[in-house]
Amino acid sequence: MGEQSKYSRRRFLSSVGLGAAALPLLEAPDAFGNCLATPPKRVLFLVYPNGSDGTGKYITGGEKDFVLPTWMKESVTPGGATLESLRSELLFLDGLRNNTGEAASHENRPCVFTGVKLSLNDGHSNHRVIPGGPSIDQVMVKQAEIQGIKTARPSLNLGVRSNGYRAAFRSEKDPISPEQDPFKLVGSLFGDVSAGGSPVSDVAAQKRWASRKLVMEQKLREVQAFKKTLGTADQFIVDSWTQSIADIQRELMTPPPVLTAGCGKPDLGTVFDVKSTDNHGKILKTQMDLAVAALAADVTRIGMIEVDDSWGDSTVMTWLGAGFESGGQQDTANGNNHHHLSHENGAKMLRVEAWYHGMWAYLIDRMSKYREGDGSLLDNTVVIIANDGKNGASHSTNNVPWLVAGGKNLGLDRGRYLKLGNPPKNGLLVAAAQRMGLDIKDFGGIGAMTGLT
Amino acid sequence: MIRNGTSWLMLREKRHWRPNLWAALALTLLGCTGSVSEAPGIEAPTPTPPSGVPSDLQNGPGASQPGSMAVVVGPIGLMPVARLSRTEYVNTVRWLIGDAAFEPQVAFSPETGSASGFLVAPQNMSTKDLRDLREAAERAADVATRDPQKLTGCDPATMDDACLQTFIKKFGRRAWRRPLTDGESADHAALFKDARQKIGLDVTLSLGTVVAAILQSPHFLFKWEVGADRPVRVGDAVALTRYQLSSRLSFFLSDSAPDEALIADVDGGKFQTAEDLSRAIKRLLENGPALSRVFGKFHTAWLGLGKLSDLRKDTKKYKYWEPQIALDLESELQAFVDAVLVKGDGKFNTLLTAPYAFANARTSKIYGSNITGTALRRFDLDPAQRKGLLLGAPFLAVTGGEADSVAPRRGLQVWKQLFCGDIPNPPMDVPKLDPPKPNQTTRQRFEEQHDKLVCAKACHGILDPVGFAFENFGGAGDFRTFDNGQPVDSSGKVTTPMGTTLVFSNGVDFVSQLSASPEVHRCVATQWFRYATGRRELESEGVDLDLVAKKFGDADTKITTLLDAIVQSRGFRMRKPAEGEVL
Repeated sequence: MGEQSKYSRRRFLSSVGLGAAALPLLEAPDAFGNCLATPPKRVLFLVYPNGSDGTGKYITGGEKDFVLPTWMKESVTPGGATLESLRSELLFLDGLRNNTGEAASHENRPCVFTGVKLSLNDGHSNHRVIPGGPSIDQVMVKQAEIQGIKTARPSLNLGVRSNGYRAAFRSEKDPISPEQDPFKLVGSLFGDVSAGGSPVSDVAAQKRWASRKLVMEQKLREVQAFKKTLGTADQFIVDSWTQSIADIQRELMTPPPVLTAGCGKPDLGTVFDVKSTDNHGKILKTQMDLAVAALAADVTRIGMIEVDDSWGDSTVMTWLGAGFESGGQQDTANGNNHHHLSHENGAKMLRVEAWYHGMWAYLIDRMSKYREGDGSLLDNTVVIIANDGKNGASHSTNNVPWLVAGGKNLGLDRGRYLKLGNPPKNGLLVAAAQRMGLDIKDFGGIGAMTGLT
Repeated sequence: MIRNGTSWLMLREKRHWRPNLWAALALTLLGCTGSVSEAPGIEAPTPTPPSGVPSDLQNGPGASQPGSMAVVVGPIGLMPVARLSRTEYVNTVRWLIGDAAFEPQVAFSPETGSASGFLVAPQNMSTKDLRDLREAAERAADVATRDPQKLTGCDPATMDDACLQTFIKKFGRRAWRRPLTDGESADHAALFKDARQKIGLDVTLSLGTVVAAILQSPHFLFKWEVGADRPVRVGDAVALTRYQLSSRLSFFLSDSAPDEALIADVDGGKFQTAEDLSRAIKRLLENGPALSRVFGKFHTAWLGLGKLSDLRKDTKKYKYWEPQIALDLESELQAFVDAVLVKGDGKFNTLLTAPYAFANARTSKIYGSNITGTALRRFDLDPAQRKGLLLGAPFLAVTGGEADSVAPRRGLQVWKQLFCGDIPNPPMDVPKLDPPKPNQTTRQRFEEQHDKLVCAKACHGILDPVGFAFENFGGAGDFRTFDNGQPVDSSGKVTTPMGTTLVFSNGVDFVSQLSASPEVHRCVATQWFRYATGRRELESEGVDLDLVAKKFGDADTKITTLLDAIVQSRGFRMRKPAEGEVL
């Protein structure tokens, strides 16, 4: 590549938030994967904030001959995939009802993937949202356990600067802290014992691993004794702890994936600050890369990526150039943050939406490049991309467009645009779980949605 | 039990502040029978404590003293089973392992809002939390075991069992804030043996395994401190055990676990009487560096300044603004609070009215002062423009917009945090403010637009007038007399949640009135109580808080007097047993 073209490419990448540091990763190899002789079926959930169709400039046309709006046809890499180029892999569901409980709020994140009525508020002006039960990924984890499906991680919950309300819950009071730092996590997922995984060959590492096992066994006894001192309402603390100990014991007992060319520890490039708003795009991309690699290596079969906070107001997409300066803190006066722009629902919001959809195209395309037998990782994975709501200005949680992709081998009938009449999203979540082979009949009392296969 | 004859009057005086059903009930009962000991929800006669359990503290230090504040009326709240906050964890581990620079180097789960109004660590323990806590504990253990002999006092070559158990008991007592039971220390000795024999770790790493295990225990990570000792019932409540009380006291006043002196008192039978407690409080309140941590933490949380670190401003208007200023403002807050409360007269009044501030070359641009260098320097304020905490740059910049003032935001902080007023959450479909019209001040813009919206008027009718007191300050906290070409009007009239009307001519006048307001003093007492107990007070505890506030006000608003009164109050020393708890 000549100096000239390299320069312009760098400039382009940095303009979409994927700066020079991310360059090597964009060199998609001809083929990743082929990690597993019999590829399993998986589901990957994503949620991002501030409305997926606030501007009202959404898809038009019919089920098969649908027309994507221009903003949905952009890529984040030069000549990279767009949702248009991937349309045969996509199922647009317009729209679903997110809210299973009370009115729309600024804090809808906990109700996106949970299934029963949530309660708002603690009775004072300190707002807290507590869902009515577990989220679908954790229901799936439990069922997978029952069905004897065992991976090193029961689920992989990743966060992209997601520090507020949670999306995943083991029970109503037991939110899951997502992993926010891919650089820290990657080692423990792919066999680096110093980062928390199980040992490979190093004797000292094996000893440390063995001592961790001892400590975990002791903690298990200790938390049970601790539970006896607590009142009924506080015992969930120990239940949560016990479950986490079981998870950690499982991590310690499950051998790391076999590292072969194309399906091992992904190269995430140079480390950067995973808290900085300026790196938001890079963090999202890196977490997606990590999730995809983990699914391909069968570290887990259930993934979730939580992007930003519910109605996140701290993200300013400075890499989008003019008009996206400053900001950072929530502001009612002149902020350029995502939340603020969603209240305007103008041209700038469309650019943000275009960028996010370009990132989804990148993700889906990348999954399609992981070979699995005759097909790809994408064929064996249903990707579900949700939003906290439809419209950032009204924070409406009705008729929210969700994007589903992949899942050919799970029987998903793709390449369609379905105009739905605001059914609860539960049905989609149940359907995905069932297509993965899990015996889950309903979620929050609602059975599988039909017409997806 | 009401033992204090003067409390009757005190309660009645305060009734106009906060109608209090429980106070009324207690007074009625007292009037009718002369004794409240049989009444439901009222403290029963003191039971005889089991042997080995300190007696006096369970009834309340000061309970037997004439003129004390141990008025007991109505139910008290639960003690939350609270996880150590990040700073509590770090401070305690630093002390335990003797490394003042120790950092866990893991991102603990973010602290979340609670009914107390203060951020608290999550109670549940997700897998990532456990993994992070393991990493932090292993890191601490590596530091602690650099010199096994120094750590344990045992010969590492032999590490005989008796010596090892002595170490486990000593280290465990400090980490868990209570003695380990024999079973618990034997369990850790067995862990050491297993690490040595089954895994083949050397002495250092085996000790490290034990240290890491102690630091990953629920008994370390949760402020609950239930070991072999049983709590004593006091009517419908239970008194905190000496271990729980000393722990709560220490975390409250030093943001860390009980130190050697407190442990010596507790274990040596010198933490039993009211005098013992007073002595312990006094000693902790004389520990400047620890108090400074507490004051920094409280005021940051109280005024919502936690967001300081990612504060940004419109650099078109504030050309001097750079990210480093956010950190400078954090340091400024700490320096100011220290100057008033640790090194100064320690009064809340002064906190709101001190005629000085701190700045360096960067932040002096906000103040329009001429300070050079990066170090913070104290300087005198123009008394006509600014005074105290609320008119300093940290508060004004955090609550300001990127360029302009945002009156309701400043108003909200004062309303909630200084008046203890409740306010509903904003509706979801807040319309955007129209851009300013020519020659329209920010205040005029808010007034006009909020007046148009019936829904907005309900809240903004309350919040905006409070915020208008700060209109002399732009988004960065910069003083201004003109806004959009028009003279600024920062006068106003505010009706407090308790119905008092404050009329003020400007911000300086407003904060002066706040500093002297008994209602604000009562609220500050309430906020400190919530911070101390990690919970919101029950309606029935209003009486206790009235008395705490009175003591605070009578002492010329000395914060240390307030903290002392809170520790002595029932809600701090006792708790309602949790439903289903086996006592």
